[in-house]
Amino acid sequence: MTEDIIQVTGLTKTFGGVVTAVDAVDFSVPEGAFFALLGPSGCGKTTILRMLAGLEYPTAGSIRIDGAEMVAVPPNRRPVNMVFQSYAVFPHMSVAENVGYGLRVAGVGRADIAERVGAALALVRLDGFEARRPDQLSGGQRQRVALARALVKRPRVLLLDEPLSALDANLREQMRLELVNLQHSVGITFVMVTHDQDEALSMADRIAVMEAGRIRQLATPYELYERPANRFVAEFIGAINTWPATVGTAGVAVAGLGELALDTGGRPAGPATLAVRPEKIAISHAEPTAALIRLPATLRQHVYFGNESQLLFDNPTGRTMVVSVANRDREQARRLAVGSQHWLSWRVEDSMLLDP
Amino acid sequence: MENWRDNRSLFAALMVPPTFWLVLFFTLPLALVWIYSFGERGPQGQTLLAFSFANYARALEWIHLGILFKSLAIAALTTAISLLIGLPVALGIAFAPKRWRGLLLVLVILPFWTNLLIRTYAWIAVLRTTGFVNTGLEGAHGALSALLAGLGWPEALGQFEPLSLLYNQRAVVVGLVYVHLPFLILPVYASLEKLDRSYLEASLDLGAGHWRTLVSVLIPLAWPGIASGALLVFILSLGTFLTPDLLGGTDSIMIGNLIAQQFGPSRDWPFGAAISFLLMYLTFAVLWVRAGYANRQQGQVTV
Amino acid sequence: MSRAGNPFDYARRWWMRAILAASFLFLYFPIVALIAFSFNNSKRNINWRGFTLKYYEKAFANEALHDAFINSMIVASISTLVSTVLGAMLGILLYRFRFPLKGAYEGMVHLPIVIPEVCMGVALLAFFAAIKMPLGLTTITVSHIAFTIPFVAVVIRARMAGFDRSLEEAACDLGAGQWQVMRDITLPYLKPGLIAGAMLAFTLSLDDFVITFFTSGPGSTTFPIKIYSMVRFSVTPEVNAASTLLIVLTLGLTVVAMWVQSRGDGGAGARKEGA
Repeated sequence: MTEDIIQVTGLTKTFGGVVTAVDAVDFSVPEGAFFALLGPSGCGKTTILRMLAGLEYPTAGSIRIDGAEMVAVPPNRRPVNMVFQSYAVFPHMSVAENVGYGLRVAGVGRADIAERVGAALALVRLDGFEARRPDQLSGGQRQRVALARALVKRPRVLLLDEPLSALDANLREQMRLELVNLQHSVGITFVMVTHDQDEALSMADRIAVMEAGRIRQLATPYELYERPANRFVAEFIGAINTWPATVGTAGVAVAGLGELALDTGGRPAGPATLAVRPEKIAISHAEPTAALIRLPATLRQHVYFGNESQLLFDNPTGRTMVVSVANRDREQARRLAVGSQHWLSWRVEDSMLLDP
Repeated sequence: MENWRDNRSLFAALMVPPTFWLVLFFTLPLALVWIYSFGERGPQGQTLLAFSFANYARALEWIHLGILFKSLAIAALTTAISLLIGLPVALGIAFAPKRWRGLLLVLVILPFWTNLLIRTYAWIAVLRTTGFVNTGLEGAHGALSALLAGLGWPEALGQFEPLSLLYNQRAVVVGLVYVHLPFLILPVYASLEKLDRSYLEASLDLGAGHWRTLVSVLIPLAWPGIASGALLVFILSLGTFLTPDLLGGTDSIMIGNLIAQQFGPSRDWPFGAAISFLLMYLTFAVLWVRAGYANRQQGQVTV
Repeated sequence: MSRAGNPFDYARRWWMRAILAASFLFLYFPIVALIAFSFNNSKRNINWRGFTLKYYEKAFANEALHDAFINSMIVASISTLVSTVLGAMLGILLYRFRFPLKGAYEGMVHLPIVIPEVCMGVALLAFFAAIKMPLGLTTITVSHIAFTIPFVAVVIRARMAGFDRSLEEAACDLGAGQWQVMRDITLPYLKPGLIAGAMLAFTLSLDDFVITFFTSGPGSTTFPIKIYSMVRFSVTPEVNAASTLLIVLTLGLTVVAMWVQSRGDGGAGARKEGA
């Protein structure tokens, strides 16, 4: 494996000397990855992307792309190109002029431009749209123009700022797959910013979850969901049930659940948080075997989504539990009537121990 | 917005040429007049530099103060009449169907593109003794007399006496309203157009009538636009020169004309400079009040 | 006529229509009468005595009027050219940069819009006298540039306010340098604003009376100054004819400018709204 294509160290950005948008962030992106920066709005993810593009100047830190230091390099000389959130398709240029713009300012010959523009438009399935004006295009088509315009420059890294946020819901689902396939076929490293966890989980192969200017965890989608490093990540990605817990020498004590024989993973004795994902919890009439963590519960509310249901249970721990179940047969949703008594259980190894 | 330090060369390239021009041909002349306003008039009408407040003291003498008060009164009256006409017109345009609105707005703006001098001159033809109003009245008078004569009262109305409509303060006010009306209609229209219609619907829904809705909801919400338009009309009327010059008589001299006189026939520049600055201070005071409304209007938009 | 569609269809109520009709009559009657009577075959100019073009012939044959018109065009053309460039710079500067004392600077450069014209006129008169610059077309032009710059700047800044900065960033990201971005992205976007600003400057200059009155000298009479002196003398159909020509000229230019502007927008805005 070659060196990582992007290496960011100690990257910091403060606005007006007061607000720290990005706080000493380190990360690297391997060549060919689909990397996502995920976090709530205002967490600094877009600022990082814009610093990669050269559109913001870092307050401190280093950005290396392909081994070369980028901090002093202006945006027009960086081997990266960006797809803007608003797409920023030039309204006074045709589709072909838009896509060819980067080549024109680079002094590429006319014939060459035409050929490469044609190829780029074919790549995003917009062949035949060369002469259209941007105001004659739909939102999805404009996005493809923005993609083609960036890809035609053959950048080392393609930056995407909330690429799907301006599309309507149906198109968004479809474009997720298309972007992933596009990335596979061009083999360029993609760095995407998004606030949508589903988008990040389904598209990226590496995700940095950010909060308040820092990366809270950088991992694969699987690890983020199943082994979150901290409560912020656990709660930001997917739903989760949590209880305050106490780590002791023998195991973990939780009010209402008793002493659980959990692998503490070397966690020192003291307060912690026990967590379990809603879909890992099974529902049964009879009390389950002792191998499982189990507790009796009363169904308080049934939120019906059709394909699945979200169930809220009152239980002895005093904390309402969320359980999600797939509606695998037609009758299941009716069986789970509000007020009915059930046993909830999950496997010890599906539990997580997090910071308090 | 960028900090100027991030791109000094572009900042300087954009800043220097227009600033140079404006400082040389606007700020410096004003500064010069300001200095003159403390000067003295020499025996041949030349301006001698000095440091005295004599010109300002003279400007506040009764005879000149009278002109100042009259100017303020004329400007206030002009503003009031403009409001009376402009508010309903702005309301009518703002609530007109979309396809008419553009046309009506163009009709309001169009006179802007007609020369101020010509628009003022046009009123001479309307108001003079043999103008359209008097000719129309004479016609009506004649017809009425003939009618009354037919009914047996031959001398009931007497001889037609043309009204003296021109070369007095009334003519000045009419001319000022005419020239400045669009300045009132446009900002009021703008604030009414931005207004969320559901406030008015809520008022009706809660039981208020149209008149009550107008007074309690619409006017308070559109107030920044109304105030800003009214104050604009006020300062423009206050500083006018051409309208009283063409339509006014000897009794309708306003500050603008007094200033022009000092720089023209009277050749007393220091005195003219002092009145000129008094007028500007008045204008700034009104603008300062108006800026408060403008800020409030902006605040409303963000809320 | 048509029934109101909702409680706020004020424009469909008779009283509102009456108010609008009366107001527009007030706004248009004097001008329309002035134009109509420029074709009236009567020197006394009150009663209609039939259609004639003889006052236009007279106006065209009037050499002083002719010269004044040429002077006005020269002044308006040069001042428009200069003030559009300088005003655009100022507009972009104010749109784009944050700098110390910006509030005070803005106040200073917008002052020519708000101070009474007569104050600016006498200030320029005093200034030209102090620097011993003889009054003439040069002083008029210089003054017109000074008072039209802020108007152009306001138009340009308003146009820039709707600008999506990411377009410039995108161009830069695609490899364009600062000046290429200006040429390829910013200026094309600005074009309708530049046309509108130039048109405004041209009409302001062409129409200006007060400032010109104080900064013109003998032999440098502009069209409005000439009309003024004719008006002072007497009200004649010839003045009406000359006035009508000026009205037609400014309105014509405005219509052309609006048309160019709507084309410059590519009709994009209108189309989107229509859809």
